Amino acid sequence: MRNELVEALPMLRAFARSLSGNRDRADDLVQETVMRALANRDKFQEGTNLHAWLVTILRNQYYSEVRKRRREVEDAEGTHASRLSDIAGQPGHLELDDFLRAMRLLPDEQREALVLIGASGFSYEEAAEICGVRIGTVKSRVSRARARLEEIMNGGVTLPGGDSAEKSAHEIADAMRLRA
Amino acid sequence: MNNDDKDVKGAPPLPGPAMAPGRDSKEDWIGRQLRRVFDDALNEPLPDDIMSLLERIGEQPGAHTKSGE
Repeated sequence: MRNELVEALPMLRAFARSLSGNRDRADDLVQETVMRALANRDKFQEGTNLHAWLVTILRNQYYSEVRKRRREVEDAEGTHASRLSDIAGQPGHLELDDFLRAMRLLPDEQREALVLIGASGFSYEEAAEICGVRIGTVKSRVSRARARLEEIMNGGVTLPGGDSAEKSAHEIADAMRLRA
Repeated sequence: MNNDDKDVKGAPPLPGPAMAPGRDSKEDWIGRQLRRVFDDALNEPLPDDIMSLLERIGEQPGAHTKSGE
């Protein structure tokens, strides 16, 4: 299993980073997932989709951390919004920065569906299995995510609570207008 | 005094079906950025701590980590 695991790591890491929006957190998630995968390797059925299995472990880990953090800190919005920009940082990444901040404004499960389908190359069927929902649910999450991103970029977003989130939505809209 | 040149220049390069370019390009934009974030991470070398974790595993094909007993 080790070689397959090594081969899967870049994909796993890219998924973690797209989902969490944070480099360090993504790497922690990958490391934790590797440990769990090895500890539970007897539960993996040979011949089934290892990538999907690993992504399932990783996203479960991510969501349990999200729930824990939510209980611990009610601060959410502000830190999250700034956190997604960690990835962008470098000059010439202005567009990307806007996108990452817009992504952060999506509900986790919509962002997840979008990344699974739009970037990771999983089928709707695989994504449904990974998320433990029906295919139709994945489809609707993806389309709601896209609609929401468009809405954010067009500036037509009303956000519940959190000045900073609202502010960043306005900034994104401004940036998009400048670019158009 | 020849208007033909002007007419040719002014002719629209793409005839035809109006296809809401704004909407299309925005949708592409989402897909492009998604893949860009993903691919950037995909192409980065893995951090050392993960690699050394895997090397430790490779040395112990018996599936036990050293804290095993």
